[in-house]
Amino acid sequence: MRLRPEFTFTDLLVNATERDPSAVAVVDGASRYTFGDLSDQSAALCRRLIELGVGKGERVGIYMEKSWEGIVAMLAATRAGAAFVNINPLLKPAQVSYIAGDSGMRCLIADSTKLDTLDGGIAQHALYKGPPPRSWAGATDIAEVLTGEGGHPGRPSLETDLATILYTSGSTGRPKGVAFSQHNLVVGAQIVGHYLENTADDRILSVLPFSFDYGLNQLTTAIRAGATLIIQHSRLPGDLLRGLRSSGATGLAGVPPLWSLLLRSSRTLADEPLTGLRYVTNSGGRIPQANLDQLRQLLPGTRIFLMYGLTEAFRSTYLPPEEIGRGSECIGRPIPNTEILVIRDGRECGPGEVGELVHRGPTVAQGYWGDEEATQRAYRPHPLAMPELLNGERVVYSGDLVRRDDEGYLYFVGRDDAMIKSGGYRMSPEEIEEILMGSELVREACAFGEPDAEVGQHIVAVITLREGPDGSEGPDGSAVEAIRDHAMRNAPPYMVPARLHVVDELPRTPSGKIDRKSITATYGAGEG
Amino acid sequence: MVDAGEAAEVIREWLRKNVTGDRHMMDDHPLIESGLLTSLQTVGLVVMLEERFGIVIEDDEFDEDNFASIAAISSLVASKTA
Repeated sequence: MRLRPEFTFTDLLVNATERDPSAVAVVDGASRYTFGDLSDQSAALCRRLIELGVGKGERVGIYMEKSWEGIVAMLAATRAGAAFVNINPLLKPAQVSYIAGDSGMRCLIADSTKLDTLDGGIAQHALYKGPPPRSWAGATDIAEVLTGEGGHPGRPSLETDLATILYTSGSTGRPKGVAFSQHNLVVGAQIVGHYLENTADDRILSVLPFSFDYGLNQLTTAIRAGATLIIQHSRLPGDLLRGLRSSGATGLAGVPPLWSLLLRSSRTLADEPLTGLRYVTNSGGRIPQANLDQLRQLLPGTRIFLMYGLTEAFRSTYLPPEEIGRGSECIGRPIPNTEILVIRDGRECGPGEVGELVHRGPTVAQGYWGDEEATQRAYRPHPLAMPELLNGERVVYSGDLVRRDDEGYLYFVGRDDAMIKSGGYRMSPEEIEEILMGSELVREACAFGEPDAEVGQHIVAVITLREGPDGSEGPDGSAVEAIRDHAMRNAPPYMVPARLHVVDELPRTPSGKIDRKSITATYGAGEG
Repeated sequence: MVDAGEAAEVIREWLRKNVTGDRHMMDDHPLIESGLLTSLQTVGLVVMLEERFGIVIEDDEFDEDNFASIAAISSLVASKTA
């Protein structure tokens, strides 16, 4: 057996296939696929992508419900030397077309039902899964490609090549694409697979989207370990429990709302414990302490890892399971091969002092795609580097405030900007406001996040209404419902405000801008 | 005993208030597959149905088949109160 050094995502697949081509790589519904299948079918699709003219470094969009084909597509793009761009299947055409334009993708691989919602102008080539799409003449059926003979082994690529762009939001403006190198992806799988102790015997239940760095990590760690990834679509408690039992899952990664859903089944879990579940991990927000206590009680044999990360640096910290008694606000210690600095006014904070979490290490991504200004704000030279090191290492300034205790454990304190985080998703107020304005019923809007134990924050929007065609203000009740309907149709569910307040006038600052602080103080429920 | 039509009205009203706004929702419109109803919202719906109709929805019944559409949910409710 000749294994490759692990430089690229392709190397991880080649090694897993070399070790055992007949091992099951992916379970999608009733279908099981081996590493041999993943190798063959990604080579077949790689060949087609190259025939379609997909060049090195080019971005290939993947807009699908989580599926075998979506996984093959990521690896095919990687083998072709291209970068895959996973688009959350919950996104609506407006957001998809923004991502397509911003990333400059020419080739899109999508479910045909999703292709049919999109304007054919957003990509030159499309491959579809399902029945032929109504529009998009000339699109290729992915099933024909995957079952075809003869593949392309792939173009040579370096660990410094672009691997993927993951879209996420900040405190202002529209989503930004975080660019990851092959090295970022591989080292993320190495580090996480190391502390989770993943092996080929693992069966990882995959519930999170691949458009999310945390969700993508289950795939990369599974392939690296030669483990099986089981795709789970439904998060409803009955389906989730059935999925965990029937798949014999040994690992599960979730965001806080997932644990609330799982704990709905607490009686059944107490009656029939999930004895095979070796570990669970939480990231994407703090899990409520009561839920953590209940999980520990119901899953006595399961190791619980609380983790913290931000897309810009992939993963920063984890709390070893034996330290779980420190409580759910503890985010633990740095992941292996990583340093976490707590910085305030350019210097390192002492124990107990609150500062900004700054991440240094090999998972620091390559910056925001095409956005130099934002990149320079978040990706800065290492503040404590030796001045003689001229090619200054870049670190990520997270914007998250933390403190470190005497023993070196880190605790999340909060943020002091307007970024909204709900159920693991990051949004800027402007993104929400833009959606509301799009209804053409809203004159001005101010959105903010309100603390919510289950999802971290939920969205509240304070709006003023446009005048009706007869010069009168629109009737409030019906306008609110129509605005909500517009938002539901044009945005993913996590971006729809939980509450809409209609007011006559939005408070302003002396300079005439909308006074976000005062609006949040007046209309938000505050901390708690 | 709750009739499925009555349950459907209650569900439609809850959806209008909590999820969909003023859109008219057909009984067979896919709620979950279409991404209309999130998992956590579905929990909210279950809590409401349990209180309103005095029923208990068992863990293994709380799945995508039973909550696929207004028709599916209302027939589950009707079967529990029969």
